[in-house]
Amino acid sequence: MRVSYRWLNEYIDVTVSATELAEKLTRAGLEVAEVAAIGAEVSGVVAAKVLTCEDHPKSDHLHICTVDDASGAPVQVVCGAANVAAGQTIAFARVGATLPGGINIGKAKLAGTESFGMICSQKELGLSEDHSGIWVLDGLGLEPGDDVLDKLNLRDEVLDIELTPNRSDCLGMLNVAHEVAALIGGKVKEDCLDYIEAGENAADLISIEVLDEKLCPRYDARLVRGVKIGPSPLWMQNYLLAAGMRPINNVVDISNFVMLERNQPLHTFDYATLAGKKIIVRCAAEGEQMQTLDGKDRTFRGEEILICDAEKPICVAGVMGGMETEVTDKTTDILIESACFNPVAIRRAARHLGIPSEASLRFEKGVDIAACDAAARRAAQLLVKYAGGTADKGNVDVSVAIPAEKVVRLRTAYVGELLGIYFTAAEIGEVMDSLGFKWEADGDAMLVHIPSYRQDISIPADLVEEVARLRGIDNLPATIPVNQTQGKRPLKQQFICDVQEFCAGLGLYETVNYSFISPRDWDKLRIAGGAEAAKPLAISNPLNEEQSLMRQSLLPGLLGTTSRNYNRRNLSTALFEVGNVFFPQAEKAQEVQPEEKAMLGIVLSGKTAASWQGGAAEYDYFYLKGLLEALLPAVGVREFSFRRADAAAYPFLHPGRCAELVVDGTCAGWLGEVHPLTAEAYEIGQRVVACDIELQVLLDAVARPKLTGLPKYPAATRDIAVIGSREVAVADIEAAIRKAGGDILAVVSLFDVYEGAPIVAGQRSLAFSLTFRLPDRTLTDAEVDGAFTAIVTALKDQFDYTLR
Amino acid sequence: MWEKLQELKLKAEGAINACTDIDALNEQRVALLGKKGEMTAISRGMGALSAEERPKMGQAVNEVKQFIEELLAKKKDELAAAHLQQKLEEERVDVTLPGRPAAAGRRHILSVVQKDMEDIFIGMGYTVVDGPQVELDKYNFELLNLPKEHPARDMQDSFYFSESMLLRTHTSPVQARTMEAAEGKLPVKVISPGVVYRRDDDATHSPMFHQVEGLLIDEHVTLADLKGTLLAFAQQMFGADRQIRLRPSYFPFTEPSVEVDISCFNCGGCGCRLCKGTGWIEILGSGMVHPHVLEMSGYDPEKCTGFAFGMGVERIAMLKYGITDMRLLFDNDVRFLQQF
Repeated sequence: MRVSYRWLNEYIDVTVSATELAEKLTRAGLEVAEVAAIGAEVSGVVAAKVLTCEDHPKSDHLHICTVDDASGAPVQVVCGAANVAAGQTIAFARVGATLPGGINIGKAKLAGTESFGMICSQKELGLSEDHSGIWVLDGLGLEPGDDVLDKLNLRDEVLDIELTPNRSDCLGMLNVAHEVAALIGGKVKEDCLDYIEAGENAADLISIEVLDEKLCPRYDARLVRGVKIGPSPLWMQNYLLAAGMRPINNVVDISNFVMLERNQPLHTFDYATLAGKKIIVRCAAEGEQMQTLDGKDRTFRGEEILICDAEKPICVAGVMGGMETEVTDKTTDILIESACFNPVAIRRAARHLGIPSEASLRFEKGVDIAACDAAARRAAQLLVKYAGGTADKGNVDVSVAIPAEKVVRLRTAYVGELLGIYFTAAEIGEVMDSLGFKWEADGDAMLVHIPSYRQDISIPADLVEEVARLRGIDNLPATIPVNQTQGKRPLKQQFICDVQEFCAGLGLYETVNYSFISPRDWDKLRIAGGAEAAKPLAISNPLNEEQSLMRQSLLPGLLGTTSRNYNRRNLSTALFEVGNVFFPQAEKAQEVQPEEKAMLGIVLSGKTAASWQGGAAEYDYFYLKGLLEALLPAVGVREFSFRRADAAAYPFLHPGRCAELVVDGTCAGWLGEVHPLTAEAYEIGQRVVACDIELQVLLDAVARPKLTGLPKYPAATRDIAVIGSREVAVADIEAAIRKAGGDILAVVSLFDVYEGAPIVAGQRSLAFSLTFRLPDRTLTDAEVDGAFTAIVTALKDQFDYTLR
Repeated sequence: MWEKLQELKLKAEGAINACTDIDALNEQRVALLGKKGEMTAISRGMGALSAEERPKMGQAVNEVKQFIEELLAKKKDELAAAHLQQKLEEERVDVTLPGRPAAAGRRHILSVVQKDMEDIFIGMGYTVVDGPQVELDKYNFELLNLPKEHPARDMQDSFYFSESMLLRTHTSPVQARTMEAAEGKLPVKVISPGVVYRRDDDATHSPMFHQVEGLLIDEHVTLADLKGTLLAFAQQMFGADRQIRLRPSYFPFTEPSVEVDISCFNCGGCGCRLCKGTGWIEILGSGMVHPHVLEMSGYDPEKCTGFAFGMGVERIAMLKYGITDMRLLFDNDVRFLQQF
């Protein structure tokens, strides 16, 4: 809401400066974003009369004029505006004048002709956006030499208030004045709405029928006939300009002026064009059509409110009027509509038709149903005064019962109970008085009468807020709640924190990627049927297609991030993310909450940091697996294994380098090298390894470690090297060794893998270091030898592996 | 024999001192004191002496022997020290060469700041609670006093899946769920951190961002308690000399509602570019829980009151670490990630 400081003074004597007022409003919850000064920079602009005006011989649009600015001899000035003419009074910026933006006017030469000053448009003076031509001041009573801005009272300050949704009442200047009165004291000037009704009975001239009172709880009309369309008074134009609206003509300007004054949008119809002299308010039929005054044909959805005459729709209520009944230059008889429409219906109509306006904005937030007729009377009064009309008698008002005045019972102590700072009944009463709220004592409480324009107040807490914002908030002590509770981070959150800490400690950088991804990500992951087959949860109003589907894996986001880095020559990246993925329900996927799983994703690409001593390691499958083998025990998961994954289930992974992590018999996720075609699809020109692991499965397996004591008796170590088929998984061989070794075998550790001559093709040599130990005594050689022999036998029998 | 002994003493002194390494010294030891050494040879001559001379000569032999042994030991220490000295000299490195790189990563600045915020409130007795990101309209809006078509829903432009389900626009639904689950028990004292979504994308808005919201419901909770709690937070987060200021505002789920500014930590409150000359920086929104919200979640507003607050992790992180473009936080350029 743009509030003109001068206009505000029409309703209340503002005893503080605009800047001080802005500060007070802001501290009271009506945040002033900016105080703009109109005309403050302008100097040296005077009224002048155009004496002569001739076309410039060397230009197709310039004019050479002489003007009388009361400085003595006529002044020559070149002007490019089409509407300049001899005899006009215009705004003349003399040589030495200053215009908004610090522009200084000096002598100039245009198309070879000297020009001593400039004839200004409204825009050049910073008064409006109107740059259609020079500003003609005829009929405003200005004499050459008069300072234009001073004489016309154009210097002003405008407070731009960013209203919160609850305070839409302050979209009306009068209500802003009430707020100002509460802040600085003073009385809002009572408005006199009297005028002479010299015409006929309005009720004989128009009939009104409201078919759906939910859509239109009140429809009030007044008539002013015999008006003459012309410009509105300059003061009104100035106020409208300051509020950010363009003056059009007296009828339109009065309508806008009343809206800005009272937060009640009005509509004016050309009464003569109303078929049957009848107004019908009803809901649009689906598919019904009408041409709005912007010349567009509108088709309705069947939920808009239409104003119709006896034959046809003539206006989309609260949104936009129709072509045929619009007030034109020839209009003489005006029907003023001051109504209250259903906010939701207006909101939906304005959205659907894509034409939000100052009026629809106000209806959406709700207007004061009790004040409709006051606005109509104000408009009629102004039409009589400034458009020469004759008002007809009375009004035609179709209305549901106007809600009774709200009375809120406020227990005096409640204010302190809620705020923590105590006020006496008298102090609270003062605040209510300053707001203009009537009240009376009622035992330990007060009964507060809420004015109808303050729709935001309905419960005691709302009144406490009034006290807080007008009196209490700066003096509020800072206390700490007395309750004694122990704060904590639940197990899962703590686990996630641990995972994040350890991942960082293991050399990974944490990333945060969006939860929504592109349908193309499924194609890049080579998933058969793409996103259509995967049926992820889809946002119905995404910002764009790239961010339209909820992810089911952290991989696409991490690959996107890796790709972005790779393209910026950050060639080596070790990234992780902890975040949720979303699996829709089989039934009613868009209505029933999906299963959300917290995942750990890791994507590595490139090499570890190289040293001057050499030794950068490539991020490969075994690097990633080593990371997990370090990470899992660190976060409390001690029992886990890896198994070869079915490559068909992971089309985005290298078929020979993909595995599943198994924890407590459950597959906790996958790890592997990203398929070269997937890497290529993400424009990463090197190997990428990745994993995606479900954190809940890990968390379920977290066990508190129990100390087993340090070994007291010496261990015996034996190395064993065996040769056999490379198709046998090392994990199986290791398991067989453990089983055959029995209780005395404490540690099995693979220390060499060799393929190549002299070993025959298809075979490999595996060398393990075996540590034998018992906790309660020293082992004998015979025991160790026996176990060793059992291991050799088992490997021979089960895998045809023989000692090297 | 006496002469021989004195001769040997002189000779030994010269030979030992001439040794330059431990091997030469050992050779001298053998040559002088070994079984076939000169000392042994001299000692053998003792038998030819008279009974009177023998003790004297024996003493002299022992003295010379002891002299030589001491000399050998001293020389050995000298040589060992010199050897060590030389070794240390040879092992000298250029200590300004870079270290061997150890694997070192970082947490994302947002998760660091979020955890810092959580820890401050845990210290004040709050429990962290978590909830779904895909939320029902009921929890995201309706139970928070935002019925369908409420104009204030415009403040939180949402991503919808259907009329009834959306991406949560704040973490308040977790609070609504917590209250519902608490079934009227007091106190409720929780913070709900996490990812939220709004339909906005520019240099100061991201369609996905993070919030930490707090809720306290108990008997006798006041706006002054809220101020004290947030002052404690601001001072722990931004420095012990920070002050806070409450400004009336509007949120549908609180009444009264306030926005909270902290005194500018850049200029101390005299006005600078960061605080746009006002000395104050807005950091969060808060207020006393709206009686309707309490009622809808099964609490009697006559018997208890509460406060709630919510703040953006991004905003706190950007303010604290001088980040001016929010998009950097989600771009994940490693050169950005490495800086925190």
